[in-house]
Amino acid sequence: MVVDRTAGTQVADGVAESILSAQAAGQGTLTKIVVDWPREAGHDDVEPLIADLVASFERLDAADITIHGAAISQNEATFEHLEASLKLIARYLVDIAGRLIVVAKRADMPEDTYSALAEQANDWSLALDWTHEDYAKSEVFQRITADAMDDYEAGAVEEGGFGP
Amino acid sequence: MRSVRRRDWRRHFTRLPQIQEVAKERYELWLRDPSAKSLAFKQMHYREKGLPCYEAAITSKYRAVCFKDEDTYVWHWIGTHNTFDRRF
Repeated sequence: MVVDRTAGTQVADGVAESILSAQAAGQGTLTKIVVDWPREAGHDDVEPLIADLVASFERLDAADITIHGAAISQNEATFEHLEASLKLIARYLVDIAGRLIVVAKRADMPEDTYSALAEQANDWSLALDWTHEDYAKSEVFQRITADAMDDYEAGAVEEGGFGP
Repeated sequence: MRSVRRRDWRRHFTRLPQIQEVAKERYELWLRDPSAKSLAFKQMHYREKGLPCYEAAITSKYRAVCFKDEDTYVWHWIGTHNTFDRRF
C-alpha cells in the first residue's frame, strides 16, 4: 500500500494542534480552579469551569477519533506519539473533572449541571485504566457475552463488519 | 478466517454516530492486519462457554469485542466501558 506521507503529516499536524488546544484548555481550567479554590465556590464560579471542561473533553474526543483514522494510525511512530500525548491530557482532564464535580456537589448544584461532565470523565477514566482482567469481573459483560453466544448458537448472526 | 456479527449489532452501532466512519476503517484494518499496533487486538483473560474473547480498539475510548469459535470471529459489542462500570 502506498501511504501519502504529505497528507498524513498534514493531518498529524492538525491533530497535534487539537491536542495542544485541548491541553491548553485543560491547563487553563486547572489554573482557574487553583486560583479560585480558596474561597467558597458558588454556582456562577463553577458553571463556566464545567462548560470549559466539557468543551475540552469534546476536543479530546475529536482528536482521539482522528488519530485512530487510517491516515495516522497506520504510521506507528506518529500514532504512538500522538496517542501517548492524548492519554496524558486525558488524565489531566479526568483529574480536574473529579475535583470540579466535588466542588459542584459541595455547592449544591443540581446533578444535571455536571452529569455530562461526569459521563465524559467516566468514559475517559475507564478508557485509561480498564484492563482485560476487568472484563472477567464485570457481570454485565459476562451476561452480554453469554447472550451473544446463545444468539450465535441459534444462528442469529450476519455478515457486515463494523458498518450499520 | 470468517468474521460475523451478532444480529443486533446495528442497534448498538446506530447509537454511536460519532465513531461510525472510523469504526469502518478499523474493521478494514483488522481484516488486513489484525496485529496492527493501533488496534491493540488481544485475547482477554476471559472465556465464556470455553470460547476465547477478544478486544479491539476503535479509538482510545471505544472498543469492539468478539469471541472466537474455531476460525469464526463473532463481534457482539461495541461501545465504551461505562456499559460495565461507573466511577463518577
